[in-house]
Order: sequence, then C-alpha cells, then structure tokens
Amino acid sequence: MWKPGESASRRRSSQFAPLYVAKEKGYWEPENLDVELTSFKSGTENQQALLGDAIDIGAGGYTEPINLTSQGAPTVIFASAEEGLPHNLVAAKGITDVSQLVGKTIGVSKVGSLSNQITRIALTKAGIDADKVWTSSCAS
Amino acid sequence: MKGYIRGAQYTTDPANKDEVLAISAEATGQKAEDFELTYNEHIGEIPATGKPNLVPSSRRWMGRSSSADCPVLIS
Repeated sequence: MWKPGESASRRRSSQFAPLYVAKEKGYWEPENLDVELTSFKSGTENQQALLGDAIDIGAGGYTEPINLTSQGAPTVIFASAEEGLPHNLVAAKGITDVSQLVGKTIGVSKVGSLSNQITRIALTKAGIDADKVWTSSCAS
Repeated sequence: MKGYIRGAQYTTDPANKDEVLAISAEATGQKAEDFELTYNEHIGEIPATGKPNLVPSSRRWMGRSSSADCPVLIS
C-alpha cells in the first residue's frame, strides 16, 4: 500500500541514503506525501511493524517480505535499495579466518533476521557447519 | 516511487557526494567521515532507478573465506 505516512528503514545505513535525501530535499512533497522515516533495531521488528500496520512501507532485507508472505501476509517488493548485501563479517583481533569461528558467538541484529540468515549462508559457503557457530541478538 | 527515484538519482551522482554525506550523517546521527566509509563501500550498488534486482545479492560473499579477501573498513 502507498499512502501518506511512515516509511521505515530497518537500519540507518548507507543503502538507505536515497530515503534521507528524498526526505531532506522534499522530493515527496509534489505527490502530497508527508513521509516520516522511522528506524528499527532489526528486520524482524520492521516486519512486525509492517504486519501490525504501524508503518506503510518497510525498507529492509529481502527476507522480510518472504517471511511475511509465508505467514499469510502477502507483501510486494517494489524497489531495490541496493544490488548486493550490505554485510561485512567483523571479528576481533586474532581471528583471521572463518574456520576459527567454530564454537564462537556471532552477533546479528536479531535471530531470524537477514543478518542471521546471511551469516548462516556465508558460513555454509565457507565450508563451516553453521550449527557449530552460535548467534546472539545484538540489535543493529 | 517518484520521490524515491529522485532521491536515488541524486544520491548516486558523484557530484553530490559531500551533500549526501552531510544529509545522511544528520539523519543517522553519525559523523560524516564515518558514514563515508559505508558510502564508499556501497554507493556503486545503489540502483539509481530503484529497480528490484536480486541476482547480484550473493555477489559480495562469493569467494571470501578469510579476512584477506575482504575490504578492510576498520583496522
């Protein structure tokens, strides 16, 4: 649905810069849209707000519309903020290889979120059993 | 969508980099120099048209299994 109201970005980061610019420069005003940008700590919270009709549009990961649709709330992806995944795996000094993450805990925005899922995919592609790496919800 | 596309076009024009960094820093509460690190990393992947394209989504992780393969943002 598209109506004057809130548009939420899952996190306030560079891939959402067009939203900040459009808001600041008044690009929605010709359409008579009074858009308010709201930030959530995780994609999970973003999709909950969308499901609860607290926001009109969600800006986040592709897992959110997939999750919502699987829960009986069909959603539509109508724009892409970035042609790639804006994630980097950052480790403490001393960890220089993905294989060293076995048995360690990785912080993600929230369990079940895009950052959680893409971490598991990345570990699997690196030959690591994702179930042997712990994850912890740490917000954005 | 018209407003978003205008925003995307303005954001991805290199001539507007300093202003985009200032606007984004104000919106996110970050320092412009900090925001510039992620801007430099991602700006080439923000489509000016906003057209959905999931195909390149796995590109960044492919072939990266050690820190030597990854761009260093913080040292």
